[in-house]
Amino acid sequence: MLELLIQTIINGLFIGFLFGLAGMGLTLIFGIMKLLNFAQGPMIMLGAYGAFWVYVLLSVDPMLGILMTAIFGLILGALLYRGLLFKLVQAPALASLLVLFGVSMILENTMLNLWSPNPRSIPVDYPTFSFGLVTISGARLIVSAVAILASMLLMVTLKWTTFGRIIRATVQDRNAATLMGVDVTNVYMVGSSIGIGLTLLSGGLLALIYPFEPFGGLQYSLYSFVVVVLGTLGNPLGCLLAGLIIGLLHSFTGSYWTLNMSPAVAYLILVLTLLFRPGGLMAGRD
Amino acid sequence: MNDLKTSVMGVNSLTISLGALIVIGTLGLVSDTATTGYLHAMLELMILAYSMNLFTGLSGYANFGQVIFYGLGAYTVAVCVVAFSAVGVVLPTFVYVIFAGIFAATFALIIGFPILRLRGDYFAIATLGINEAVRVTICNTKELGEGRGIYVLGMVPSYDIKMLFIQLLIVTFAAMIVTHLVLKTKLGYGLRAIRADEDVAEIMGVNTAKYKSIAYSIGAFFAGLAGGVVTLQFACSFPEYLYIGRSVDMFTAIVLGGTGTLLGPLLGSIIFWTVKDALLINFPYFHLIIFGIVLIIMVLFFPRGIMGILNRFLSKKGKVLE
Amino acid sequence: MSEEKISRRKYLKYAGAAVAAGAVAAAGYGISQYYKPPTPTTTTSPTVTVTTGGKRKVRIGGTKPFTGPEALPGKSEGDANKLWAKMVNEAGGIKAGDGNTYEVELVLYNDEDKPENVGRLYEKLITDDKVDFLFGPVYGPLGMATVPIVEKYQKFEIFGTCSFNPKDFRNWKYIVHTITNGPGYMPAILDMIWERVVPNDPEAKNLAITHGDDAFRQTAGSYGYEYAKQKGFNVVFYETYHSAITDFSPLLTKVKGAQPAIYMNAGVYTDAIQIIKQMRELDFNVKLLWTGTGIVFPRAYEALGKYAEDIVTCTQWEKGLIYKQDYGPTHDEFLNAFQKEYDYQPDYHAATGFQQGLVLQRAMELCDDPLNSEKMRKVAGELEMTTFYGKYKVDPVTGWQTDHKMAVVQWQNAEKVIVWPMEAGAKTLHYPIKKWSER
Repeated sequence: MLELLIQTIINGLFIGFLFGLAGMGLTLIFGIMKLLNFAQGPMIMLGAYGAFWVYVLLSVDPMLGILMTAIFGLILGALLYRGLLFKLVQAPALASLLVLFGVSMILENTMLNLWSPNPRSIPVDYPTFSFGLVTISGARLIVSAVAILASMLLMVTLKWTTFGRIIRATVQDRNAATLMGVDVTNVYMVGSSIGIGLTLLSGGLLALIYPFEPFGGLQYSLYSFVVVVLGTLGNPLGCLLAGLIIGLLHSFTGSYWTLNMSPAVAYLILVLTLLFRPGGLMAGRD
Repeated sequence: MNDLKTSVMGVNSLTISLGALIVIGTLGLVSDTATTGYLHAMLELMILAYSMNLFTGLSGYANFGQVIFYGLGAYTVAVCVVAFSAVGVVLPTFVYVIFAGIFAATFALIIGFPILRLRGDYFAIATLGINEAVRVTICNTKELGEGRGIYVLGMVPSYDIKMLFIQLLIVTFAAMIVTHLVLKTKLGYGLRAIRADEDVAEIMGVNTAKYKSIAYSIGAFFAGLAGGVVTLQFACSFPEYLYIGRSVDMFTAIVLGGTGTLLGPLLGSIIFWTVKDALLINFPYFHLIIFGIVLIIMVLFFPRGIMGILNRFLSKKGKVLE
Repeated sequence: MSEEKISRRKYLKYAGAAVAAGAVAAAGYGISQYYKPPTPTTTTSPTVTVTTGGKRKVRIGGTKPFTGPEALPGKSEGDANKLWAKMVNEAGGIKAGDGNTYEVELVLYNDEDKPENVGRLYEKLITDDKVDFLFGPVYGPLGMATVPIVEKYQKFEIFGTCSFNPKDFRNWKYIVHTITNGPGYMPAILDMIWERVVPNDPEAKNLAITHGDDAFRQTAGSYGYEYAKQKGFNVVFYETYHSAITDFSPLLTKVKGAQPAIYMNAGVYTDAIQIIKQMRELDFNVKLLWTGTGIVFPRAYEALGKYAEDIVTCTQWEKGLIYKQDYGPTHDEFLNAFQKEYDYQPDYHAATGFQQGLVLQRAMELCDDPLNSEKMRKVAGELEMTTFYGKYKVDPVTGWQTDHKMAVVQWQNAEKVIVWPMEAGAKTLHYPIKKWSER
């Protein structure tokens, strides 16, 4: 049926934009600092809780809550870098993975103790639009719009501003950048800040459309990893594209086969990518 | 530069580790079953730590999928028990456990082919993916009990913690000796070279693909054995055995103790288990927070683990322990 | 260079200490909000209690998931276990069938919902803490993992929120169940629909059923499907999903296409909420909806707002269910005592935890050798009673709960209203439910 197809595509795109945004922070941090953020899942949850509490306690528009949680993310990213991450930049991969896992354990259990295991969600009331049998949800539109906006903003910044050039220079060759007068530590801090800010932003958006609980981050982080690997670690555009691909795959698998196998399909893509095109979709391009 | 003696007071690390194991074994066998249960769980962790150490510890490849081998081992025993008794054949259960180890090792060989070509972070992600993919597949396979698992109460010997303990003891002995052998042979040196710099190792003639594959499989073998015993313990096998957190536990244990050493997994799992258990019983709500903090501090300040600290101390006296 | 190193080191030490202090402080604050200190007669770590004036002691042990993804039922059940012990002791203890009075001592550990902990902790409880009886863990497979130990040491165990699939029974002799097991969840709602809805709207026979793939969801969903077919429903759609999935739109699009009158999904917490949110996004309307057991929690209502209105769910127990009971505290007594002790309303996990205690209590009262597991199991296997929780009667051989039935509630005006069974105080059922756009 045509309607099923259209609805499937729409569903897939919506899921995809959010996955793309979630992966954006991850890929940025990796691109700049070569650190894989294994605390991604709990951080997304933290973003969701942030938006939720702002909404509940201050009774403001949820979008404001999302904005605030994103800003909190920016600050958190900077602080985390200063307090912890700077030590990991030069450390072997094993060490950084473990430390970030430690961070994720702390985050999850602190959230559990503070906010209980009950799943929460922001009860939104955005309209839905129906065209025959096809429906488009207002909330999803907003989430996707913000996701696209944020991604575009990031890419534009990286490509067209001096600031972005500095970041890219550091990524390309840290030592050369230092020689050119770049304060690499600052770049890392900014990178961490933006990366975690984006992660928390995606969490905040998530709060609008999904329920969340302290241990709910695992699924999202696994999907994020698939997305960033597919989209080439360090490449925001690739990440967005990969997000869309994974989103559409999830949707099509669910609609035409069975939702049971959607995660398996995603992991299959992961394995295939790693086998045949380990650089990801955008390997070899800037 | 003076050569460092690999022993302390005439005792080398193999003797120490075997000695410690004998102490643990004796303690477990003579004391009450609660202590045996405690030590049994500790030994299980130790075996898993050794299995993780063989590949990850020596080569430096972060591996989040080690628990699959444990889980597959558990399921192998369950499936064997069901299948064999359906045909009317009854073998001593330790045979099934060996099957479990072999199956796990074979599985490791097979998936090792594609994924061992990957480096560092990519490899870690791939292992994560495989872990979840296997778990999802098991959850969807009717013959494997789907989400519920396989129940074999009555088809395996009734619960006897001392017997289970002895089985784990044997496996741990084996793991220690094998680790010692690996460390002393080309395989061990090759892996350590890979850890230092894989490309250089390749150029120097180390067959990196082969070594990684062997180490990965041997590690999987031991994890599979441990998994097999757990099915005997609980008389059932279910997908929760494949929980990723277990891989993190093993990881933490070897980092605490000192990766790539013989005594590392021993010390690391003893400390990890005693601390974690004590925290779990006394601070049921926030033991993981404390744990996370401890982990971070250990990794940041003592990256070589306890063995690292010990060795820095000892090397001043011209000795080193592995 | 070394000077820089030292100051860096110091800085790191301070940073590390600050992080640690911050985390511990946050945790401590969380604890004070979340974890009430144990009352004098119950403990979470083993202690030796001095017997008071000729009373004997009965020691009960158990593990619950206080942390981890199952922390929700874990805490509820644990709290209720403790409340029961407290209330029994305050009333003077259990007056057992051998003429003695027994004071209750409860020992509960956190098993994190992990099998490796269960093995070690149960050994400890039985051998070290020398408990007489056990309250089972939360969650089917974990409960099954305790069976070999219990059979070996011949300890009587009462399962709470832990169900299993009858196909898996393997001749164990020391277990009884308190809850309606997995297969019984959906029949409650299906019975309600058949009796209250179908006579007036034959279209209501058109059902869509989905469920997750983990132990509970699968058991509940697959048995529900069989029952529906047997009963005479017309199942227009039946499919499963991977339980940890976060986005259901593909599945829901298909269900919508099948145009069912009623949609039932055997889910638990997050998926239950998720499906409602996404049904609304897809403007997928039905005349009656069940998305999972988690809808029973007030927080679920908070998360959904007006979109939770008219949603039904089945529950082992709910406030407002008044049974004609013959044993134990009344509905109001339980509710008030729990609220007073813990400052939150008990959910059905809590009620189940309390029932575990009541079963033990009643069995001891009827048993002439109340610390003997075999005798206790026999008594528990044969006794029948109706408490505030509902009926209790098990199959003497398997321990399977036969008589407790699920109730069905519907959210109406931010309150949970009993709509089934009729004899326990059922009220009007809102049918068909409001469309999403009309709320």
